[in-house]
Amino acid sequence: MTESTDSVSSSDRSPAGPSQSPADGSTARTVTRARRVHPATIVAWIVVAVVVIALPFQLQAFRVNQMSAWMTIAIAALGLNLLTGFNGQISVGHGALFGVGAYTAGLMIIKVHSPLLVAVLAAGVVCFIVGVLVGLPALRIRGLYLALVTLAVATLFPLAVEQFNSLTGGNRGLEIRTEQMSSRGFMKMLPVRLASPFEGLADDQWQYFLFLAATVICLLLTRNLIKSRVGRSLVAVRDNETAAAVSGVPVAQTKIITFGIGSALAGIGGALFAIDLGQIYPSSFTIVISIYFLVAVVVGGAASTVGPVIGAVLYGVFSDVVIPELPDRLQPARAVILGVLLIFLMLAAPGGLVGVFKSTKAKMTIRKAAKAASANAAA
Amino acid sequence: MAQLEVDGVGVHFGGVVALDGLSFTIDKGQICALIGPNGAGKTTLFNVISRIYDATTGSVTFEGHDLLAMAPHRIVELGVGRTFQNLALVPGLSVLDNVKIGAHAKSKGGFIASTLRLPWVISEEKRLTELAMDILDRMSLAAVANHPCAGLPFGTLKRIEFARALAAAPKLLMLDEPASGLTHSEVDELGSIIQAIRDEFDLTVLLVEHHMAMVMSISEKVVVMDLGRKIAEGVPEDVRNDPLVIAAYLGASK
Repeated sequence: MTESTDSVSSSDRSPAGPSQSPADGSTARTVTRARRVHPATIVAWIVVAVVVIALPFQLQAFRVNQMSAWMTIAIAALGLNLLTGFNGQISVGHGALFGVGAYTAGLMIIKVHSPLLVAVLAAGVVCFIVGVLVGLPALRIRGLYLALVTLAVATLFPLAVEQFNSLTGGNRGLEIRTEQMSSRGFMKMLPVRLASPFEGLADDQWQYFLFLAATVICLLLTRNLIKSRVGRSLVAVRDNETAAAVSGVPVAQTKIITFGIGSALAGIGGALFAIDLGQIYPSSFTIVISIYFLVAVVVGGAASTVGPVIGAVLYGVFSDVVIPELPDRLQPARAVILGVLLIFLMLAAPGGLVGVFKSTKAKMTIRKAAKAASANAAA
Repeated sequence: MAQLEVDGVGVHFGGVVALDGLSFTIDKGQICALIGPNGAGKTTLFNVISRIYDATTGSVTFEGHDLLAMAPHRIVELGVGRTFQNLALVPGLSVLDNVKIGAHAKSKGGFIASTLRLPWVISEEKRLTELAMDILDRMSLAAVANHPCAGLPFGTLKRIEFARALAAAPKLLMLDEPASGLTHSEVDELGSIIQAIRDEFDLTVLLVEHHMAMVMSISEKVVVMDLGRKIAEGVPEDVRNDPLVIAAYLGASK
């Protein structure tokens, strides 16, 4: 690092003026080169894509359903990451918004008989509005105090669902049934399902691919946002509100809209979750699920684009695959096991798994640069 | 007509009077220095103009706009850019992105367009990158463009802030102690950079600086403050010999 700054200050002493020396052109080229995707990254993505597409054909239906559920968590975690990772607004109430999305979609399907896609989008819109309202206090308070407000939201949501039991079914849960053709050939109210339009593709597999498509779309859209002018302003608001404001970023507006978008993603995740389960209970949306989202964001790597998805999948693997394999004696200790694992992970990789990947890449770049520099010096 | 008019600005923090009825004007294209002992209220004035602090009394008018009625992020849209004495950069972004964020007010692309990555968002982003790289080149910072801000030396960070302010294409540039933390030769060079940039970008410059040699050599107007008030104003030669100024800096002779 000292090398690079030395070279800067020495070039500083050259006479001022708009110098268009060949050196300028070469630096501009290194900028574009740094942005180009490494072939290894492309290969890695292809491998991931193949595995993700092949898995539902290799696993049993209940596993495929579990993976669909992980994806609903991943979508909500993408929203939380936008809000907490990139915009620095800590929310421990995201589970409530997940719940608002689930109940909105459920009620839309039951009461209005809306198509499933419409129900999912409606959940996103409703959660955007609720998120903006929940986010209003964030204009005045931040950090731990904001976390406390969102904690209140997380605690109140299941109670509110129980309170309005005529609409939500209260503790008995909300059964999401639609009119479907039964196996005997007449119309009947059956639990909601995504019927596969293809021969050879079971319902669970069809649902898996639809949820996968939803996750990929949400991932790409959040990635677009993060890599844009708006994404920069989110980070600026997180790191230094004064710097953001003097650069012309409308700080309050940015925070509120980010709260809305983060919540809309939670709502979409929640709606898919409701469709996946077919029956939802207030106890599914306690503070615990908010913590799941935070774990997914932190384990995957806060403020990284794909981190939350990786985190959500890892958490799913842990709770649905690893934990049931443990001997019965250890079952009651699963929260402890998760806690200990998290502590070790945070010690080893404070930036999450994506953080490990990034720092390894940075180290390789520095090593390469050092090698190039010594080669230059020799020449 | 003056470009910036500061008229009777007072700032009170509880019982503390940070600014006390300060008035002065700057003409377009001028380099105006604001000097005075520590605690005179120079940075407070900057913070009033960029709407970080609220003025208790008075008004600030820039090209006919009442700045004190504007939201903070609108100030830079009008063409008033600034740097900070103790830096206000975004450590989580690269040097290049820090300069690009400077052009936020002068670029477009909201949440929806950015999320959908519409074609004009891509070309706008390209335009911003080119703009920022040009400015970084101009400030001899191109070599650190993709470097994170964290870990760079203070003098480099000051120039990154300068570059960020320029990215907004300001008409009035407010520099808060740009020479602090620089070596002797760097200070001399900074003076010529400020003059060159003023000429090149057709800027007005308001400068807070303790480095007297630089102030006296590049300023066309000097406003001297002490304890929140203006005690002298004029061309550098007059101010230098003003008895009130000498008293404020060296103590009054009995």
